[in-house]
Amino acid sequence: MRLVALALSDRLSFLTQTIDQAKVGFEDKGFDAAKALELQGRADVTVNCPGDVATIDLVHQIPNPANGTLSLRIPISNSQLGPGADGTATSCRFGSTPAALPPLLAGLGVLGNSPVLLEGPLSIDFGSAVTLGESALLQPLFVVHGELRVDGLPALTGFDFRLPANGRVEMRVDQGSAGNVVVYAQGLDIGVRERRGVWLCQGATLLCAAQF
Amino acid sequence: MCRSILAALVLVALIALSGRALAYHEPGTEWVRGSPYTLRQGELSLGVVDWDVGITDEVTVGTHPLLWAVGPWSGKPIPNAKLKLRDWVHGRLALSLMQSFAYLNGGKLATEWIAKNTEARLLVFDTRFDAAWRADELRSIGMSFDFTYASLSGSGVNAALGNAAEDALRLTAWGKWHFSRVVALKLNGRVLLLSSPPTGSLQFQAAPSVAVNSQVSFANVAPAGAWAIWPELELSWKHVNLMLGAGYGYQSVPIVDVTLDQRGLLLTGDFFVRFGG
Repeated sequence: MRLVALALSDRLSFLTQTIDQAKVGFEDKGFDAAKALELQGRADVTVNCPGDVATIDLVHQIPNPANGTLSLRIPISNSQLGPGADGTATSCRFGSTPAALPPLLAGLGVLGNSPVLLEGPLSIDFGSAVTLGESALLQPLFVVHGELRVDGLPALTGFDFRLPANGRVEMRVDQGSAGNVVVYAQGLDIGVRERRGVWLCQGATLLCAAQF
Repeated sequence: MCRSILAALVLVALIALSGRALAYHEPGTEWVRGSPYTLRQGELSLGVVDWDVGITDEVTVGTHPLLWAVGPWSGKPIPNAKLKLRDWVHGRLALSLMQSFAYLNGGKLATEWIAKNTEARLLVFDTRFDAAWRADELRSIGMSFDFTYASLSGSGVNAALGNAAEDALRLTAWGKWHFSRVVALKLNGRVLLLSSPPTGSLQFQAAPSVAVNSQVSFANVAPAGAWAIWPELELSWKHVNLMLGAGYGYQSVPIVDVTLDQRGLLLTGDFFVRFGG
């Protein structure tokens, strides 16, 4: 549930915003016009983590070194970015947004009010290479090899999550011999998908019902 | 423009017809291009690829007329020159050193091809060492080491190319057979010994919180070991000289001497007249 609580906010969107900003930056510099040159190489992107803010907005965010950094190395091939990146988070803090949590989870208190700390290596799969000069709908898959800390809770290590479109977040939870469970969240709704079916939990009480 | 070119051609023809015979495949009138040989003092060679003049028997200076010709099209003249010094022994073994440069201010091209308000400047230095051995009047062999340094800088497109520099070292070997004083066959082989593709760096702030530091290079540059082999038929009459060649291997971009990572048919050709001296 702590993963779900994290997923319910828009805090993870700074990860996709980072990739978006790098793409826009390259386009502003004329990179897209040089596609015919078949450029290759790499882009090292360093983002100052947003810290404890209610709304993630990297474009207007004032950097604060206390919030740590996230460094990404994005390969450039054929004048395209990706299709993935490797990175490292260094005391990367991205804040809580208690208002976005449903009352049931907000009542847990510690989850709703504490910043989240990401530390260590992670990998990102964009889904496909990002072509400069063309609009891209990023639905990246993140694999966190490091750890994620929320105050008062044990650190999470070795997990992955996906950020599909429409603000939805999907996380894979390894249940050992029971297989994988995918917990997804969209808005204030939470869904659980595993081999036996799909359940959707809605409303302030997160009442769950099987979908099929 | 056309009248001046026509006048130059007429002048060349008149001088060629009035000058003494200097061509033919004979010792002392060897081809200058792709070999360690130089023109005689006062001798002129005007061709499609090169315009050369012999300052002394050991010093030849020249330029590439094509680069000057495309100046109006590229927006600005492309100054280029070369200086060749050969040994003074003039024996069976010939050695030479040649230094050349070309400078292209390609702002107009970059603006038209890539993006508005774009500047691009290309500076190429080439150093070439040639050696040849004349076994007898019919056969000779030779080789060359050719080092090219190209620097690309600018703004606008600078974002993509940074201040890119390229180094390349090539070894070329050749053997030549003279079937008559007019007809010769030359077999060339070239291998890329060192290749440092144009690599540029770029730093920018994509947003106040997002810093980007990138390193990029051209993907289409051949690695060391890229080769090419091509025979050439050289025809040398009294004044007029014609060369045609075809072969296979990794293709290269003239002037900057960037070897591309693609193999295919190679076509070479040259036409020039020699007179004076």
